[in-house]
Amino acid sequence: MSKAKNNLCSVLLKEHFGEVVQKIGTLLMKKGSMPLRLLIIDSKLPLQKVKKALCVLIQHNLVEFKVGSRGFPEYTLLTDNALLLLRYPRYIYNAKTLYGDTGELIIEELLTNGQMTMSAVVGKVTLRLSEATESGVSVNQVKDVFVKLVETQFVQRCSVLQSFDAEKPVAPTMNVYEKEMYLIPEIKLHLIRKSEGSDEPPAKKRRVETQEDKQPDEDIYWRVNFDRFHHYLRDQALITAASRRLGPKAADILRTILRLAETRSDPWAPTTCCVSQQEVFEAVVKETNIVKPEIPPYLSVLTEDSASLLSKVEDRGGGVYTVTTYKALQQLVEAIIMSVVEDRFGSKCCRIFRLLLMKKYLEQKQIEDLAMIPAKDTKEYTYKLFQEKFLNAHEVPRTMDHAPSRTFFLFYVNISQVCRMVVERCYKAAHNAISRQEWETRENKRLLEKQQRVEAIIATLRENSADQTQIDEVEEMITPPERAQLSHTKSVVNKLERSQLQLDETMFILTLFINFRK
Amino acid sequence: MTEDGKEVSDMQVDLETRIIQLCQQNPNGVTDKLMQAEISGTTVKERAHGLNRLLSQDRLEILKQGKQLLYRLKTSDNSQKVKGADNEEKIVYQIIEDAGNKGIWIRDIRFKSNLLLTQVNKVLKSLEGKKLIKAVKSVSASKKKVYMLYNLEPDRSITGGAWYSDQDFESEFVEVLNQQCFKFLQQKLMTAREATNDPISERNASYASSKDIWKFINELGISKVTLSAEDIEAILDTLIYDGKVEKTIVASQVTSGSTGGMTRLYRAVEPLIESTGLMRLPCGVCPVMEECQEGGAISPSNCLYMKQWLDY
Ligand code: SF4
Repeated sequence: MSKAKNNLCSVLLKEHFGEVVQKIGTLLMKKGSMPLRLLIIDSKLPLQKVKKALCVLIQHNLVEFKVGSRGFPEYTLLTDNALLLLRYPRYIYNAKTLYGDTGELIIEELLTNGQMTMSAVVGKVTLRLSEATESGVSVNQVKDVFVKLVETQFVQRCSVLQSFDAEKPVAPTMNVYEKEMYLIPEIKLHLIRKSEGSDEPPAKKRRVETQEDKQPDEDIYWRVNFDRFHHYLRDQALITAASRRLGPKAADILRTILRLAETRSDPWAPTTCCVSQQEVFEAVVKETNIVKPEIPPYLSVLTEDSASLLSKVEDRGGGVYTVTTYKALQQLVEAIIMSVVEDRFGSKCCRIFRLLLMKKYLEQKQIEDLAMIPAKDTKEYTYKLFQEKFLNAHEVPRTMDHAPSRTFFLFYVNISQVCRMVVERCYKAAHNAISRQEWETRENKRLLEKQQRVEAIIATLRENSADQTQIDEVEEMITPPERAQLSHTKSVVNKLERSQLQLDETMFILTLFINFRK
Repeated sequence: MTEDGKEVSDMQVDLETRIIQLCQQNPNGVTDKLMQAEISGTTVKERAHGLNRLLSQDRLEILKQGKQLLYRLKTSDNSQKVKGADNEEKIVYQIIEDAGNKGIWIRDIRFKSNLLLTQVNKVLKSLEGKKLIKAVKSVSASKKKVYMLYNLEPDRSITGGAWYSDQDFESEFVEVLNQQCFKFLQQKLMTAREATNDPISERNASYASSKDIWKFINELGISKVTLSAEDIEAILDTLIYDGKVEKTIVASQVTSGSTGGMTRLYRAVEPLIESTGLMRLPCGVCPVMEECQEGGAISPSNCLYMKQWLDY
């Protein structure tokens, strides 16, 4: 694991869970797995705090525990999961596009709490929605969206306690049965409805209630199924690519095919399962406003395009299609890396890089001739790329003594290696963006606090229906230069946040590809 | 006599070859009259000029037949050509002749002839003086001179073809052509998109054959030298490496003009992604990223690149 990745995990933990969790997380990253006792010693924190931090981490599925070699439970940080913290806004955003405000809030609740029971989620979301909107939403509606999210597997059950021996308190084994993973339990909606009106959160209220009034799903916890989201995001990336290359209609058709294949194939196989032309016809006509005769030409351009998004596996019955996920992903990755090379080293270097990617092994002289770049410049560019490890060289000695003057140097590209390198850079860049953001807020702390105070005062004034002059007076407590500074800080922070999301997009595709190659 | 060593113009060379051809056809000698009849479009002076040069190069000889003068080709035997030369010159001439239009490097002449460098230099100079051989600079190594027979056209690998002038690679010229070709294809893609709704005909309409592009470039008149279709294909290939163009090869129909080989079709393509997230912030291109660290001399909080980017 690299330093850049660890650093990024560390700042992410701090941003989301505070400094204690960050400290514990960082320790775990440094040492690999650790038992509780050592964690206390190394962190120099009191037992309670360490326990609490571990709880938070476990709840968010960031720490794993199992019995170590000495018979004690040992904790391990799941760094890959920690990196997903960066992607939370994207999950929420996508839930919104798929299932509206309700979906957005459900996912948001689950993400901020790590895991929750269905009744708690439904109760909380209903409450929040009725606060936010005039009309409010019924418990039933919220429940329906939740059920839909489970059915589409965006939300899944957490593993449950399987065996725990109270005599020998070592790590319990957790398990989840596959067939139960997406099973909806009974919940008593009327209980939620009752608590809806009251100001107290439902969870608090339940504690004093009798067995009768208890929710039956108390020990069934749910969490966000990241894998499913990644699957969705990947498909989304392919659809966007299709749209750029071949227009919106091609994208619509590809979306339909992906959706048809989605439920029946292993999402991470190199190709999706097959979809017959007939199915495509039916689904496309039903779901989009594309008419049937338009479809075959689009299918054929999609299959013939060099981005290799779709491929025709058989001619039977008008054709059977599969989405060549892996190949398409590779195209995307290559496009990303090209853009990195181009922006960093210029278009000529990019030409050399792509040339090598296409022709595999080439000598200096061949590069020069094919890329049509003067010898001197070619030398400079290849060495630059070589130095930055974007190119590798293969030595082919003509004589036994390996004398450099009698050795061919064949340059080539190792795409996985470059991919990993770029991901590293992304980690570092994301870390930098977060650090900068922290710094910007720290620098303007006083001002930001002042703004908050002023806003609070104005809010109370409004509530007490004070007259406008009074409000204006309070507002003027922030001077124009301060105002300018505030708006500047705001735009800076926005920009940094946006760039973090964009970085994550790059990382997402690249890591997906790396995992595919494994 | 024109022994002033001036560049021989094309016309003159042309005239000389014609004279030689005529002489070859009439091995018994050509009279002045015949020459006048056969080689039309030249003045007496020009002809005399050409004949004189050929005579001075020992390639023709003059005979007298009665009152008439007869021109006859000298037997083009090597020993004949280097008549009056010593053995060394003969050997070197032989070696250079074997090298053909690729030419031969002075070092290799030395090895093959087993002569000393000073000797070789002397011989080469004398052969050059007699206009039997010439020295040509090679593009692959600017300081390297190769020797070949005087009347040979140097090989492409020596001159570098259309992309070189005076041993310099015309990278700007290549760039201009690269851009023009892309513009042409892009234009085609645009019109194809506007013209039709059907994706297949849109794709087909966006293709252009290398011949079309070649014609377009020639009509633009940006090139001083004449470019071959292969030259344009080489340029188009660079566009493929730039990721802006893709190529397909189809078997062309046998039309009256063509022999029905392969036709290379090119079209502009949209990139798959717009730009990557990494490159949207300065760290993507930052040259000092390795040194950048919170608390270090360069850090995200004091970084100037960041400041510029954020203030922008
Ligand atoms: S923060 Fe500044 S110095 Fe550090 S990597 Fe980014 S651009 Fe470079």
